[in-house]
Amino acid sequence: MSEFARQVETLRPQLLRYARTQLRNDAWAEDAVSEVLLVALEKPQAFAGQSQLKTWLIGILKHKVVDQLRRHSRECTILSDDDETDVDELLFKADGHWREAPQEWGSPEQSLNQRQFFEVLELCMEHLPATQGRVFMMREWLELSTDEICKELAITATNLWVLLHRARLRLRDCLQQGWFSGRPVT
Amino acid sequence: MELKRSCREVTRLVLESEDRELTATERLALQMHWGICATCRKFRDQAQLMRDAMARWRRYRDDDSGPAA
Repeated sequence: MSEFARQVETLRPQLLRYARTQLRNDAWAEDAVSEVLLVALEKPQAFAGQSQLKTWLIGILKHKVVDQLRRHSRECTILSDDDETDVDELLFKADGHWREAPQEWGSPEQSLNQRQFFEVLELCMEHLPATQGRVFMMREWLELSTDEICKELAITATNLWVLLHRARLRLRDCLQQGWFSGRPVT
Repeated sequence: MELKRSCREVTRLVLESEDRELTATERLALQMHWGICATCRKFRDQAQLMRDAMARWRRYRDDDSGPAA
């Protein structure tokens, strides 16, 4: 095996993890990553070395992951009970006031300079209900516009807004529990 | 348009501003609510921290320029 192929293969577990977080399905994730590795091994000359190998592969992965999402759009948008839970009901009283006031999170630098914070953040993203997690990652990792997400998944804007809203509230709650109040996320 | 918004509505607007441009009236309603509601100011700051965190996470994940272990 060439040195290049070896380097590519070393990055496979990391690419798989990224693909799984986005797709929430092991078989689709494996397919997406295999397609990336095929591109890399068949056209190594496309890697001009101007960026890190990992950055280049992730760029390709993002396209392959969108292909999978599009291909499986119907299954990708099935809502679990967790996806359906109205998080607003848990946070707000009927009159629109907070049940429990948000707490002070302190200065951003306190948290954002610590690698551990990002580990908790990733765990919290992995803990989102599957469909919420997919659309949230499409927005935040794939950086697709809301119009693009609606198109790829064939869902309405209203459905997307609800999913993103719930995902962000859940993520906030998970960070509160797992980081800001010091209880570990498992 | 009515400018008075509940905490629940303000929260929805703050989160929607991650994904779309708010109208001037919506932004004004937020400013007015924050002027009188310390609780929603805290939520606003949390949302800002999350936005910064996601931006940094993207860089950290895609090219390893995150905080050192």
